[in-house]
Amino acid sequence: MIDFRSLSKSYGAFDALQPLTMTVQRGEVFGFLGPNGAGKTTTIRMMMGILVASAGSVTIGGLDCHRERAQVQKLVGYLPDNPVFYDYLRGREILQFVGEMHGLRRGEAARQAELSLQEWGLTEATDEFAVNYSMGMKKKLGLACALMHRPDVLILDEPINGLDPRAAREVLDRLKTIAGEGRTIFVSTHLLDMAERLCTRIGILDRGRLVAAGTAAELRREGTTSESLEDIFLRLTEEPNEAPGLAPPRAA
Amino acid sequence: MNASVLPAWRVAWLLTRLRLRRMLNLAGALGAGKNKRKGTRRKKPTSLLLTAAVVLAMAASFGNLARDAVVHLGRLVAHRPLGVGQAFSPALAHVLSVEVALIMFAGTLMTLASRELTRADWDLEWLVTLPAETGALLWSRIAERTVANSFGLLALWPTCTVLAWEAGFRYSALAVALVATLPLLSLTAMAQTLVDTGLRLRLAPSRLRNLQALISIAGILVFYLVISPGMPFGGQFLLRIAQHVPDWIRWSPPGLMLQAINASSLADALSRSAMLAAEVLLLLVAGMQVLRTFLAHGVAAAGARESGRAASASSKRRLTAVGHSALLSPVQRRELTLLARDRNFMVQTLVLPVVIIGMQWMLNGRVDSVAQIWSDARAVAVGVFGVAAYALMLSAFQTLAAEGGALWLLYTFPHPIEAILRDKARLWSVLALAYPVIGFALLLGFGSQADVGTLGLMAMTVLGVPIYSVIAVALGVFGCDPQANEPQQRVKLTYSYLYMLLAGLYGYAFFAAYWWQSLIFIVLSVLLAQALWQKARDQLPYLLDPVASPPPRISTADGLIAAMLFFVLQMITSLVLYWQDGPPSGSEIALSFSVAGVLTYAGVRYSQWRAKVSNVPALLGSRWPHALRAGAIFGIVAAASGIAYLQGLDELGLLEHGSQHARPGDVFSLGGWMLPLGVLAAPLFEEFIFRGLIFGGLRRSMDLLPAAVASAAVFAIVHPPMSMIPVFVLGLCAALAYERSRLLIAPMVVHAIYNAAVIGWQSLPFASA
Repeated sequence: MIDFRSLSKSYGAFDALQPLTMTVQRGEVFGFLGPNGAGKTTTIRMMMGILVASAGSVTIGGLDCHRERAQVQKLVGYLPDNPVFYDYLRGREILQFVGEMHGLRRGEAARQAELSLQEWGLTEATDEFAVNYSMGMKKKLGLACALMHRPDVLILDEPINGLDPRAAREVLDRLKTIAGEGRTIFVSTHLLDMAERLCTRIGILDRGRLVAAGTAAELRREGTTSESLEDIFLRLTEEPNEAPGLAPPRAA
Repeated sequence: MNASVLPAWRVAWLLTRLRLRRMLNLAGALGAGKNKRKGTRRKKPTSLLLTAAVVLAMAASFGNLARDAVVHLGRLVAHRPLGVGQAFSPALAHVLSVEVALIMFAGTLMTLASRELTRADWDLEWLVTLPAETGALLWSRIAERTVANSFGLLALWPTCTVLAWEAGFRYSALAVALVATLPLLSLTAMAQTLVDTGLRLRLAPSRLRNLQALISIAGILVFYLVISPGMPFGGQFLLRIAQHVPDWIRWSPPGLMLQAINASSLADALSRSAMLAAEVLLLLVAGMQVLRTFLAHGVAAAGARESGRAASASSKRRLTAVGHSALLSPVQRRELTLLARDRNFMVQTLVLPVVIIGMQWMLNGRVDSVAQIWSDARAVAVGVFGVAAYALMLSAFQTLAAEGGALWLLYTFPHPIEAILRDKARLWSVLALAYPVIGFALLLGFGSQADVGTLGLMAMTVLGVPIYSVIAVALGVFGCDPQANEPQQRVKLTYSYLYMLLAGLYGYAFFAAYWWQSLIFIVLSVLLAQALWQKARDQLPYLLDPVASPPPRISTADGLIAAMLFFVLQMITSLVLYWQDGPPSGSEIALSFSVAGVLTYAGVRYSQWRAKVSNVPALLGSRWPHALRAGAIFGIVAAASGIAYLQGLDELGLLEHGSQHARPGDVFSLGGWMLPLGVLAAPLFEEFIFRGLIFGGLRRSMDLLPAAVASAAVFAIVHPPMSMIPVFVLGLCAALAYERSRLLIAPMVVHAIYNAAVIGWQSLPFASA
């Protein structure tokens, strides 16, 4: 469903993403893990056509994310890491606008918006300006926007980062339901607990390089069964001068 | 652990330094490498020189305004020029005190009208968490707002400098004026702090924005009042106001500052300065007490979230009114909703242009009365076009900047960003057309006749607005940075000036002596709009990428630049070749034409090679026999139409008349150079520019017919008026030949056949020429 072919991105001399080649299958929940600054958001922004690849390409449903961006958006729902909305528009109005931009008729978009707000527990905030929402409410509104046109693929950048435990649980449960419907989810996170509970397959990105990809079982050290995802993550993303197996806290 | 609080002077220093650094960052002086990772090359580097040039230009312009205002007031009051070193008369001192007080008032209003008032994050909420006494924080705030009040400094310092100069300080005037300015600015800082603190504590953000809209209008009006004495008919306004101001103004801080500067002795100056200092101190202490009262219950601003709810019911009704039109796209409906709700945006976009252009008109003495405006169709056309163009700069030009952080949402829709921008350009052009519609309705309502001239002016205005809406949106793609953190950084001033310059050029169309000159302006503006739109469309997929740029391709803009370069080089070469002699000889014309052509060709080819442009127009290729055939066929068609046109003119007796201006193929003055120039040089260079670059560029984003028509139109308007029609047909034929063969040799053959035929026909004995 999602095909990366030697996709890379450089900012001058700095390689934000080294050539990345992998495939995410239809119906998969793919966790894109990595420390801060690993290149996760850069990759996602290239999938959305917001950034342009320095080399290689990424396709979704066989469509090139840069050249055929508008067509790709019919298949994709997107949540950025920090969703910002318009001043002076209410949650209901934003959802209705998004629905109409995806081709729904006005009345249909309005009904769909009301339903989405109910589903995401935002009914009370329907008539509030979205710019005043809390971070949790903004993320939920962003997810509602991403799902307005019932896309086949969801691309989520840190969907539960900054949420309180209750809101995080709600979002996670909803994502599990969506995954159960057979849709493809590409989710970037550095929250390992979330990845472990949600994802069917995991890719670990470190300093712009995909260091591993597979199920949690495949990523465990050969012969071990007790290694947690956190252990795997720390092992694969350790600094070059760190002793093997030892993962001291990163300097702030 | 050291738990002691910071001393007040340290707090003041740190906060002032922070504010100044922020201002410098905003100005782009420290912008290099900002927010970029190591090794990142900025795609659009901010030029320090450009920033410095803008600041210097602004300082010079304010200085000039201040000088004109003071000198003009001196003449109006004393009926003679000011004498350097002479004491101001009491009447003049009174008027000047009012002028300085108004500058302070304008400074306060303009600062309050800045976006700081309505920023969601109030820095005072953060500052009170620092280990400093509230009193120290508040005094520091006054100090930093005194020093970092850019508008206040730009308006007040030059005025005080002029006053000090006139009072006889000469070269120390600048320093004396700075010392005189600072106490006055501290008062404006206190006024600003009192108002914004009081408002923030009491009003919800949405109401603050509405109030800010009013403040911005008031600020502009007071600002014009302040600079009005420097304008031809503006001084009387201020004199009339000053008559109503009581005499004690001379003992207020602005009056005392003036007395101190204009004192007759050192003792007098010192006593007036002491009185000024005491008054300022007293006012600051009183203001501080009021501030403390405001903040007695904490610094939490009126809740933002509550405001959204409180306003919901009434706004919902208004939205419904905006939203029920099936004529509007979702983007246009959203834009109108935002406009209806954001009063500040609405005032800035729709009201401010009327105020600014109207004040300019009145103070520059263009009109003596309102009735006079409505009796002059040309003045109305220029005025309403000016207002519409200004409104477009504040709306269509900034349409990407207005998206701000929410721009990501547009990238999630299954539509090209270009289509969304096109929707916006249409909407803003319809809104801006309201000014011409109202203006011309009033013009006709006041009894003007709807004659051909008036209808022509109306058509020119109504055509100009959508053209400049497209130009504004396209330039905005390059002139806006929607991702910038600071709202002031989202719009680049240089591009705003460029837009206004281009709009000003269209303004000349209204004053053209002949209809065809206006036509030239319109055709060039359409082509410019198309060229800019094409560039913007290429740029859009790369808009949010800090390093990537669109692949270099032939564009209409390249063609326009090449055409301009070609004509400028011809002029320069001609000047160099025959600046001493009389009329140029045939060889000199041929030489300057050929030199300009070769240089343009070489320059364009070099830049294309440097930029690795992929689709450069080719002269020859494997299909050259086919190209020659196409060139010959279309050449015969063009030549036949040219000769038919000449014959027609001849039979109507217009050829003689036309020869006073210029005629088709008017190259007789060239003598023996006529044929090589017409059959070789002109086809070679002009076809490269007009077909290879302009038609090739247009063809990239247009169908064949509109691209051929547009390139032929621009080709026609650079020829003398009498030959525009056959040259237009030649342009069409050449474009069609190029389209069929994709080799430049084809349109060159068309052009050569046409020129040879026209020159040949004119040489025949039966032609009356």
